[in-house]
Amino acid sequence: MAVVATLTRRSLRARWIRFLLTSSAVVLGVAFVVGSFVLADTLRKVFDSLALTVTRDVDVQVRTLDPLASGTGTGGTTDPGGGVVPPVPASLLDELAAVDGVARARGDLSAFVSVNAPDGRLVDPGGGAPVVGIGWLGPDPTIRQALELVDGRAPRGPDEVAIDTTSAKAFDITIGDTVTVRGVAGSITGTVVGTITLGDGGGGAYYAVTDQPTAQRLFGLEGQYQSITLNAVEGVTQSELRDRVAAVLPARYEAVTGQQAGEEISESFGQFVDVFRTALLVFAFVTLFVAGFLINTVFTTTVGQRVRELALLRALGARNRQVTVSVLAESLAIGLLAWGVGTVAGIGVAELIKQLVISQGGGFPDRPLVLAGRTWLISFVIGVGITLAVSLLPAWRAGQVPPIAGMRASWSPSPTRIVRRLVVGSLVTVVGAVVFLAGLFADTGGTASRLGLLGGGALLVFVGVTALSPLLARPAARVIGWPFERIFGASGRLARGNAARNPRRTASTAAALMIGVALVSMVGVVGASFKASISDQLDQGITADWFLSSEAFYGFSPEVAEELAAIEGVDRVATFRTGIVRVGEDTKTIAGVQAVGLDRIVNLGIEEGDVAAIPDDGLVLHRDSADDLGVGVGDTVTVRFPVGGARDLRVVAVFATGVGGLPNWIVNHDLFAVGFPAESQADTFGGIALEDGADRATTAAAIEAVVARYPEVELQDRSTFKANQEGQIDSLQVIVNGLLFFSLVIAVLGIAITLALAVFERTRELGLLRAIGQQRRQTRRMIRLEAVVVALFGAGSGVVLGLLFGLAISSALPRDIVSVISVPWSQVVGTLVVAAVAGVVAAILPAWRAGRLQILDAIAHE
Amino acid sequence: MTLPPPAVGAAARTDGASKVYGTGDTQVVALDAVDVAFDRGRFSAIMGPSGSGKSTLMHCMAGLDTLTAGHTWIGDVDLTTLGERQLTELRRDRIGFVFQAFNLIPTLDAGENITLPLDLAGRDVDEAWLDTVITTVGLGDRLRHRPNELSGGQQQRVAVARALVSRPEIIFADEPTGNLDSRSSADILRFMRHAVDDLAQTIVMVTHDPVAASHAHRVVFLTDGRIVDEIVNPTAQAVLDTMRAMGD
Repeated sequence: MAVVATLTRRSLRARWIRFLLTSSAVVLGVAFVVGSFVLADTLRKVFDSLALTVTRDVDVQVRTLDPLASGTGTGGTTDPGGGVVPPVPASLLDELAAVDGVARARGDLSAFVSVNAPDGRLVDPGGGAPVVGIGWLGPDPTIRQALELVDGRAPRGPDEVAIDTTSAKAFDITIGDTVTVRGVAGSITGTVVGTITLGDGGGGAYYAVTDQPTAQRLFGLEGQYQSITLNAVEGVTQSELRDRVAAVLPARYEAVTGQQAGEEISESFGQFVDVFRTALLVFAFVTLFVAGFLINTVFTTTVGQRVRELALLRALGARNRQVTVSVLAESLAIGLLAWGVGTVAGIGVAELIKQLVISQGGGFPDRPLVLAGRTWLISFVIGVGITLAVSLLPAWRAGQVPPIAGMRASWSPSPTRIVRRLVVGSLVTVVGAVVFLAGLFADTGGTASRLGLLGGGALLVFVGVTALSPLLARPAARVIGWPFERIFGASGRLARGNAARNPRRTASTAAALMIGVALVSMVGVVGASFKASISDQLDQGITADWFLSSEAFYGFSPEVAEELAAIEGVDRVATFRTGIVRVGEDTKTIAGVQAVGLDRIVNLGIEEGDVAAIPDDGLVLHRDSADDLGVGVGDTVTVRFPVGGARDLRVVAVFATGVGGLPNWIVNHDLFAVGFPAESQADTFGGIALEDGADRATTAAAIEAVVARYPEVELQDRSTFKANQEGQIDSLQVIVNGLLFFSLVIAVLGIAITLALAVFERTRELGLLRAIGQQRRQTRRMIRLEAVVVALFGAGSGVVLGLLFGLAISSALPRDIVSVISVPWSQVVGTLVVAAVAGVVAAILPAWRAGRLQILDAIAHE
Repeated sequence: MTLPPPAVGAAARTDGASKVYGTGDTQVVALDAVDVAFDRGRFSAIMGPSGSGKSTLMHCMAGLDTLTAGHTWIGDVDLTTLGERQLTELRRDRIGFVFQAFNLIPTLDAGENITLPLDLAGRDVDEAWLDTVITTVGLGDRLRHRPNELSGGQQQRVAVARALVSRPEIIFADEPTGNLDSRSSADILRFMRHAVDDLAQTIVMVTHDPVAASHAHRVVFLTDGRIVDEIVNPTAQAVLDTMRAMGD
């Protein structure tokens, strides 16, 4: 239909500014989605390539079966125990080397370590990445190895170390310097004799390489290896070799091909990347949701303004469908532009982030970004699809305009009846609330389904409240506008009236802001409750005077606790380390603590039994866990450990007060030491209690002296610790708010656009006001105030919604994380103030144009 | 003076046409059982004071609005039996329109506005006829101009050309000279009369201007939704006298 195409083209060109502005809303959403996918895909590729590199010299890998895996599973998948796998004895190496088809056999040794540069600084890759220690046999020209020597030579003996080139550059370490390498079971001070590189930048981690005997000592694996790598002779495939090896392996070991080992590594990285991407996509989705609202509002308003033109077309014989198609064609154009620009912008942002990470020293290889075909398709579907979807209703309405509408000045589209809006809106809101609450409190059997319920429920609530809000808009606008009328007189009264006059438009303009503010408020409530709970727990639950935490990836050595306990003035030291065990079909996190003294550091709220001295077969349970199992003090529970298998433990105490971070299952250190392999024997957290009457300052000095020798340990007193915890939550909140920022930008943009449309629509009325004596200044003020009223309405309803969501979430979180619910009133007030300012900003251009109207032209405007 | 006999059959007629708005106390009777017929090949005018229902009558006869009672025909097609889609097609293919204001799509130029009904129908333009029409209204040099680049009179001429181009059975004009100065008005009215006399069109015009009405072959007078009088071969004076008498 050529004429429809012509009409669409001309219409777009005539209103090109509005076309661009509306399109930009969707651009932001599309860019966000594309950026998330591109970053995640690229990360995935980097990790996949790393996995390949690390296993490129592996034909067959032999390791102990995960003792916590439940059975062998069906269809070839095992249910992973999630815990650590015990090492293999070195003797196995000789046995396997003798198998027919094995060209060579090597033991694998790698574990997390911490390294100190010559100047004492902790060598930290940043971004949570670890330093990996490797026991290396040295370069071997006959096989392709993951490690490559770049400079110098491989380390030999207990005094030599090689480090990777990235950390060497970042921390100014050269060959000949002295560094300290600390593993979970020991430490060495050695000379750097060479630099190495692992694959293509090492995936962000740093590496410290020693010879194998030294590594075994560092990791507590004397006479053992973590696994054994076999290389096949020429002509034997990986699977063939695997089968031959499996035939001679004792039952508690397994052999997998190098390819499978690589896939396993990829898989575990992949899960992390997926979580990262899902988090980003949630925010992208919010942005798109808000953009969709904006487009719908703009289209509804512009269709309303073009009624005469549409009526003329209908009078001349255009069918409903032709008119609807022409409106949809405009929407399609917006969507296509948004798709194109948004995709490019998303790639640009991803590239920017990548370069940022590289410049900060993160080991990200400067490889091109991955732009999968799937990403183009997704961005097309959302960019074009969402734009079309939200303009369907306005387009259909446009087609329904009767020709008579152009002739009778009093015609206006019939408003949805109030009763119907009330019923439908309330229904949707209630259904949404139920779904949301189900996501919080019901047993859904999976994080994915839980998130789905939460997200879907929130969405429905937003849609329902938006449908209801025109009913609220009129009275709300009158209430909010009242002070403006008091202060600003006539301009205020007019502004108040204008906002109340078209409740549908006021409500849909405000809706976008409402959603953004609701999310920010929700995060605010949860964050404030978090902080209040920590404060509460600290004040009541934890009696320690100092806290120990680990800066290194794996924790700190148990030696630290021993040394500290020996200091005069220290009453008790309690540290704990965690691991995973199996109870029946479930995996549980279990903590190992000092047998004596736990109650001096933490007030657990013991309900039954006591923890004064936890025996070696003793188990301490949280009330919730005890109830789940239906046990109490004196009962026996069978727990399966990675080392030594199942053990019967006796419940010696049940406690009620959880402390954030402390698992619900507790045993003493000695049991933990025999139940878990060496690499788990690192403390992750601890507390120090001062002896009654001891001198605080002296004791503190002694403690600090000890801690200074262990750079991976961080010591904090109560107030610093509290501030630190709160600071972490604040940082998280800042990040979340940053991600929500785009939605807020779109919302403010929405207010600006609809205000501009409203000014255009009321041209004659504004001209009339100016003709009878309103000053330009007063006109501008009137427009500004109207924007503020709308913005406050949106922010106000957003705050109420957000508080409700936040309170619901805070109530649903387990009590050891959130025990106190707190509303950040100052943030609430701040949000409203910012919203008002945003309204003023949004109104700048429309107000200026309103003030500049030529009176006579305005009055004569059609 | 007698007129040549009209072409066979009425171009448009009504039988008991009624249009009522609202209910109960706020009820307004716009048309009250109107019976009227307009001949083919004639220029007819409907006159009346504000609120007489003349625009409503025209809207209903043109398929722009629906009657609450009675029937109306274009040729022998009863509009009250047609559905929305058929009415639209009727307007597109068999009726031409000239309105008082906002006649043209602002984003299309004059030439595109003229051929708009044909384009909407997907029909080919008869080039020879198009040239005749454009020459008749004298717009040859303005075809690429947008409506906002044309004067009021020129815009109305575009609208008249559009109405003529699709060769409709009947053209309805709603106060076509309402916004024009006397010279442009006279031009438009002359075009319309010329279209009827020489190009075999049928035009029904709603107006409140006696001078405009005097260009028509016949004028019917409407008051409070009813036909009260009519004049054949009117002069402006006769029309004025009749209007004045109606007002007493």
